[in-house]
Order: sequence, then C-alpha cells, then structure tokens
Amino acid sequence: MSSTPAAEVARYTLPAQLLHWLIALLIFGLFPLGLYMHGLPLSVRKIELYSWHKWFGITVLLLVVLRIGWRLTHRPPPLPGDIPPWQQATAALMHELLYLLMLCIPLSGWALSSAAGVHVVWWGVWKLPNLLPANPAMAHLLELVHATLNYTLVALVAVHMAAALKHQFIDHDGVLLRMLPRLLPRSLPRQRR
Amino acid sequence: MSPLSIKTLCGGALLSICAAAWAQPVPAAAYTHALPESSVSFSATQMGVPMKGHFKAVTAQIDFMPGDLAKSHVEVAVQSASVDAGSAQTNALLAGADWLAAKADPQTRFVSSQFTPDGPGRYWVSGTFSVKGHSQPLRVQVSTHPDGKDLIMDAAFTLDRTAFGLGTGSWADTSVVAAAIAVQVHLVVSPQ
Repeated sequence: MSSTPAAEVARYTLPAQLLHWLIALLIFGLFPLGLYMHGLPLSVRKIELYSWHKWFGITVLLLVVLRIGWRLTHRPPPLPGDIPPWQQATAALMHELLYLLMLCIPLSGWALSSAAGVHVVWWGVWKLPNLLPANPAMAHLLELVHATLNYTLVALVAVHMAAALKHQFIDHDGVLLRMLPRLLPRSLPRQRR
Repeated sequence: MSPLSIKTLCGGALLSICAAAWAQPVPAAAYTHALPESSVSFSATQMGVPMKGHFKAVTAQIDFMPGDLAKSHVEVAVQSASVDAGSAQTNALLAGADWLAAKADPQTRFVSSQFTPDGPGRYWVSGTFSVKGHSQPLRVQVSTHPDGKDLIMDAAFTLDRTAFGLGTGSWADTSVVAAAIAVQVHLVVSPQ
C-alpha cells in the first residue's frame, strides 16, 4: 500500500479547519467555566460568569450552524485508502454524534435559561426569545439534560482526540494533517510497515 | 297581565339594564381603602438581561378625594423582606444588607405631600420616598380610572439605586446591575 507524503495529503478546506479549531477552543473554555460557575453562591462574579458562558455558548451555536452548513456543501477530503471500513464507519458516526451534541448542548442551555425565567441577551445587546415558558420543574430537568449532554461530549471528544493521535503517530496515515493547514508540518517521516 | 304590558315591562327592563351599563360610574367623594389586588413591582437589568420582581406585603393608607386634592393623602409601604424576584437565593440577597437591608429598615415607602391635577384622571403627586434609611423627594405621575365602584391608581417611576445605597460592595458596579430600577405601583382603592 502506498503512503501519501504529508505535503500531498488531501485536507479539509480552510473555513472547515478554522471553524473546527475555533469551536474546539471555545468548547474547551466553556466546559470548565460551566462547571465552576455552577457551584458559586449568588454574587457579582457569578452573574458575570453566567453571562460570559451564555454569550460564548450562543456564539458556539452559530459557529456550529455555519460548520454544519459548510459540511453539507463541502465534501470532506477522502480518508487514506488503507483505513479499514469499520474504522471509516466509526469515524463517520463519531463526527455525526459530535455535530448533534454541539447543536443540542447550546440549545439545551438556552432552553434551560428560558425555563429558569432568565432571558438570554447575547453580548448583553441582542435579546433572544425564550425557547419555552418559565417553569421550575423544566428548568431542573434541563439542568440535568445540559450536564449529561456535556459529559457525553467530553467523553466523545476524548475518543475523537485519541483516535486522531493514534492515526497520526501510530498508524502514520496523515489523518490529523487533514485538519491542519498545509504549512505544518512540511513533511512527516513515515515508518515503513 | 296582558301580553302587551308584559312586553312593555320586559322592554323597559332591558332598556334600564342597557342604560345602567352605558352610564358612567359616579366617582366617589373619597377613596380610603386599598384592596389586596394592589401591587408594587419593579424591573432591573443585569448585564442586559431584564429581571422582574414584586413585593408580597403591600400596605397603603389612602385618603384620596378627587374633589379635594388639598386634603388628599396617600401612603404606600411595602415590607422590604417580602421582596420576590423569582428565586430564594435572589430574594435572600435582595433583603440582605447589601441591598434592601430589611432587618435595619423593614419598610420601603412613599408618603405623599401634594396632589396636582394633570388632565382628566391624572395627577402629579409629590412626596417622599424612603428605602434603606435614605429618603428623597419624589414626584410621580399617577393615572386613575374607575373600575366599577373602585378606582385604579397607576404610577410608574424610575429610581437610581446608587442614590439609595441599593447594591453595595461588589454590587455597586452598575455594569453588572444597572443603576436604573423601574418601579410600578398599581393600587386598587375603594370607597369606605
């Protein structure tokens, strides 16, 4: 089986890459922020952190919608030919689950805020409509939903990252390079199998 | 009775009922009793998000005589500890020392000193507003309209919370909780 030099690996488009890493970065910040802010007693700090969390959360929602729109209109680069079909299928399923979670999590947060009777005002300027009426029982339920979806996302992201690193540094099939701009690395020595 | 006179009787009764319904209610000489439907509510903004609340314990001493404004007097008070902004945590914070300090000053109140007419059913009412040990003169526009034999009195005003020390310590930061607090007073008053 032939190996593709790193410089010739078929890669995702630049917008796909930018959205991928930007969303990843924001999620990496939002998750610990959510965990931390939730435990705070009512204070100025808590109000500020909740606001930032919601503002960046809605931003992620928009970026994810853009990412999905781009994905639907731009076919990803083909996987290296020597990846077994079961791994290709698993990867496809993994990515679909990630998209689903990245949509549902900010939506559940928005719904949670609505059920708690607190409008989401994006960046303190754009007041978003409440997704549902204020309802303490629903708010409690949505808190569990938001938390559960988040923990599921963390687990899947861990697998997603581990798989990318496995393919790159154990299989040496250049899969991770597909999501990196062509500049780096210039070339990656590939072990002969 | 003859059929004709029954018809006349019914027709007359119907007309009287219609006339009664159409007739303007006669304003009472004096309204002295505030009904439990009266409410005092407020809205604030925290980081762009509108928040609302009200006070559960409202008392009012009313002596409102539309025909004798010089003798009219209105006093509205709320128990500061009865604040309800939607959650137990928030209520405890608002009743606490940084905000209403209900333990130190249990009542938030407005006491009128002067009524000035401002069009049909509308008045400018001057008085003193007191909260958290601070008192300031306040002039509010009150609009009234009859509700059966009762009278509805509505007033709305905006106060600067920093003038009253509402929100001290870290809460003084008006970029988190805005300085302007809108207050709505809705009194339903009845004649004795």
